[in-house]
Amino acid sequence: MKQAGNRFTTLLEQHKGILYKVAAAYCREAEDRHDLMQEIVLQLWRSFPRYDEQWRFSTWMYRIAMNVAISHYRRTRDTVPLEGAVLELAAEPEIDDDVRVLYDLIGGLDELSRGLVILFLDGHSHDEIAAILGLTSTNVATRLNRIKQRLRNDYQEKAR
Amino acid sequence: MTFEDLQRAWNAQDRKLDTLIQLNVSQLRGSHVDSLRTALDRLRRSIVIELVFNAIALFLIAMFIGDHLGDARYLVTAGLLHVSVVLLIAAAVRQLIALHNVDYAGPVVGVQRTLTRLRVERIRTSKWTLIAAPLLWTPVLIATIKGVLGVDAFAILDAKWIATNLLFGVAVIVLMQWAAKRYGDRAMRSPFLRSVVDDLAGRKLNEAMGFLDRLEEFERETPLSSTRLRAQ
Repeated sequence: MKQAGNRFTTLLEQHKGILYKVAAAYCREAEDRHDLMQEIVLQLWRSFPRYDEQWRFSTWMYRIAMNVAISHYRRTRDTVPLEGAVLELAAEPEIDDDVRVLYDLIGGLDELSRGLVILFLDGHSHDEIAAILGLTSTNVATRLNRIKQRLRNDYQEKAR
Repeated sequence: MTFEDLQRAWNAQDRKLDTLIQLNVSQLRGSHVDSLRTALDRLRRSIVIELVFNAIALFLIAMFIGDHLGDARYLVTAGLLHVSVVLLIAAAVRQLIALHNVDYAGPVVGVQRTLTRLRVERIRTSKWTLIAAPLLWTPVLIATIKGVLGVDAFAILDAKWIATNLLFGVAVIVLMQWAAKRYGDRAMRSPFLRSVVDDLAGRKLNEAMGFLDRLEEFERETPLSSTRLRAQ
């Protein structure tokens, strides 16, 4: 048990950026973001005993993080923060303006397309994105092209 | 700056995030983690609580039926309540099974579909409970007067009174639904009241069904309209 716990925290430490990226794509407010990150970590911890090593940890983590984030996003009205902490932020990351712009653009998409874009930005292949989201690779490719075009247009409009 | 530059900036944020996010490992290992509740845990707990109350109600109604097998009036009254509670228990059991089968590590679209179907079932159950309540309160009153006070309810509540109450119940249902649709979108401070009003007006159900449609569309390999990409 202790060994599994150590392994979990090591893997989580290596992929902790995913937590912020997913949370920031689904929550605008820092407090809400923090709650979501706590909820994701807790869900990861609960699901870890069933972690199947045929998947990369990041793929498994993305699936859980996105499922928790989309559910959180869809029930924000009824959200009750966790009464306890499993995660600490040294500080709310001061992200660069360019990245902030990107998060704003992503925030203009629906909850499903947001997941697609984050995975694309993180360098996942179409096959990996398809496996995480449960789509076909062709579908991922088609949707990504559309979304990228839209983000480009939105960015140009913003930049004007 | 181009969109591709933004992508590069995105990749550069990883180093910063590595420094600023600190995982408190000791908290993760501590026993208090087991006491924390995720949203799914809270949902499961509320369904179990409903189940326990309904099981108690079912037991009491069954006892009442057992005591009044020879009286058709009480048999029909309690039978109505019995059927209602059995339906609620069946819905709760179905929801618990669905919840038990949710694996958050599954593909996102599939998991979201399961969760939204579960939400649809919860909304429908709440809606029908709210709608049935004004009609069922008369049988509840009759059974309570007889079961708790031991007084023959049909002797003190005449048929006219019972019929009027049932009609009043129907009127209340119609009025509640009309008011929920007409005034429900006005600011309501209590989240509970808002939730009840949204249930009655069918807003929650429409929203959940809409999301199921969007999930289906998302899975379909057809070019999507650009407006669909927008946040709902």
